[in-house]
Amino acid sequence: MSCKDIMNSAPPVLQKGTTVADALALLRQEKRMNLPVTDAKGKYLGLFGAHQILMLALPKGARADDEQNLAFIADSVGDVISRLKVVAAHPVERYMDSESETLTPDTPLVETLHILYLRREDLPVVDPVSQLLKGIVTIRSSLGKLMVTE
Amino acid sequence: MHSEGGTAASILFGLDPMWVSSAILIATYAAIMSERINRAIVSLLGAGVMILVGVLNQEMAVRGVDFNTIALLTGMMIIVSVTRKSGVFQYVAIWSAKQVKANPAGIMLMLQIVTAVFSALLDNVTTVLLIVPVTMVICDELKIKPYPILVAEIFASNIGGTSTLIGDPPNIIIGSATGLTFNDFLFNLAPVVIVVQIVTAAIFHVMWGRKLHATAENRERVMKFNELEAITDWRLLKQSLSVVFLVILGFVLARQLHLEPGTIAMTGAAVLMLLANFGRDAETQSHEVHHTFTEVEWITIFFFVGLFMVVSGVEHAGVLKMLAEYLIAATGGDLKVTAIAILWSSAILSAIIDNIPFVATMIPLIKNMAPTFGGPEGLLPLWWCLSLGACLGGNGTLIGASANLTVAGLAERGGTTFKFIPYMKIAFPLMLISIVISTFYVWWRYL
Repeated sequence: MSCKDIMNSAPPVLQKGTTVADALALLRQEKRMNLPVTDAKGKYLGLFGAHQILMLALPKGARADDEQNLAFIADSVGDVISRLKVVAAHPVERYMDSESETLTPDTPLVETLHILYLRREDLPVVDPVSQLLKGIVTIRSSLGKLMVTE
Repeated sequence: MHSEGGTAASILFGLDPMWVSSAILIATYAAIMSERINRAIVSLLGAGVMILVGVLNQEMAVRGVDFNTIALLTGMMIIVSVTRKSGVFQYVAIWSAKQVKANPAGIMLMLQIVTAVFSALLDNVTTVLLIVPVTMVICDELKIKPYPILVAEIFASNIGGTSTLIGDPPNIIIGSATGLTFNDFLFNLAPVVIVVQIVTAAIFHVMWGRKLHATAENRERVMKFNELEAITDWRLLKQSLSVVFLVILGFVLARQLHLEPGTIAMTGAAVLMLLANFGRDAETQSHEVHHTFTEVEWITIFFFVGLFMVVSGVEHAGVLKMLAEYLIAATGGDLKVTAIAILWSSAILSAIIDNIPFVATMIPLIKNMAPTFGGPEGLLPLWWCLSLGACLGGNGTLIGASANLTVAGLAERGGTTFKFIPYMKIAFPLMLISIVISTFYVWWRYL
């Protein structure tokens, strides 16, 4: 068995140019932690999801140093929302993670599970030659498929 | 091991060790400047080649390493690594911003002072690593562009670092090689550093500070920051500040105590690790100590080790003695001309190339001038010129000092772009002003 046996080959995707606000709506609708971003030809560009939205909800300085303690900031919910409003109309490719690990359809099953275990998030499956998005492996669906197989 | 004495290069290749060692030094410099290979790899490779071709034997190479500098750097890195966990640096930055009622121009000035003082007592890179993120948070809350304040912090870190033995790596190397103490650096360099910092801050205020405005509402958000929440560990804070105080006291009294700064810093580091880990089980201690050691900048440490060996090679081959004679001939053996030439050439070159290899090479070269200028005492103005030029020159371009690139990298992550040319257009003239002030100071006080 390999990655292609447990991946979802028709996942919802975010098209390049989708706004942060629309992406957030789709994430909520699909109940996903993240979604792949592709161009018009289906080429994989990156991942955008809850991690990026949380980053955008923080002051910019927080991005400069991950180990920074921000307990001194007394922002309200309104302050956080106002930060998100500033970026709501920006395209997702501006903030997506384009360096995160991807799987290929032929990644062996155990290695796929190993990477899911280490990354703790849903991962895109990308053709290594064409860079086209082939699907997505989610932790929830892969566990479901493995249980059904058993 | 080889015995000391004749070098093997001439035996192996029939080449003059002077040419061989010079070629290795130039190749090492070129590779460092190209930034295509990590500088630690380059310097260690250069050191290896110096030994393999026989310019140095292993004993000479090891003796060439200034272990006092290595211990001082490593010890201070460990102390800072432990201290930063307490949150004290954030506390001071926020506290200082609130002292000026979150006025942007006031914050710009206060953060320059905080950065300069921390940089004088700690290394510049660590200082900006701790100050820049909190600066960006403050600017974000004030809804002002952080770029002007970040540029001012770059300058403050390099200027503040110039004032003490431990503030900037060139001073550490100069101090260790010459026996000049913490107090020598403080009493000779701090006066001019204060003037340079005041002038620089005034220029930044006129250029940027007075134009920075924040609404009362946004200023109120900063005023609501609770700096006490930045302190994550009060016990560690007390331990860290006590050790930092004792280490600096040790530096001040180093001559009376007959202790090298490296010994003081490394002992301080060990004491702080002991206090921070006291009462913990063995496994937790191992984990914590391992984590602390991983925060030491080993690239810098190994870069120094290799570099000392490379410079030792050219020194043993007689290259630096020859260059010193050329320089003396070019300046007519005039101390004034030599001092000003060293100050300005150090400043210009340090803005373009890494100032650490430059200073490491200049030290033995200047030492070779001692007979001309009446012995080691006569060289004092030259050491201050080298320090002022090398440290302040680093402000001139984005690649002039490690702190500059660190700020640029952090700013980039936070969405603020630093570009080479726009930075240089502002920074280079400002750096030249600091060198003009230094020239007047050196002329007035020593020449």
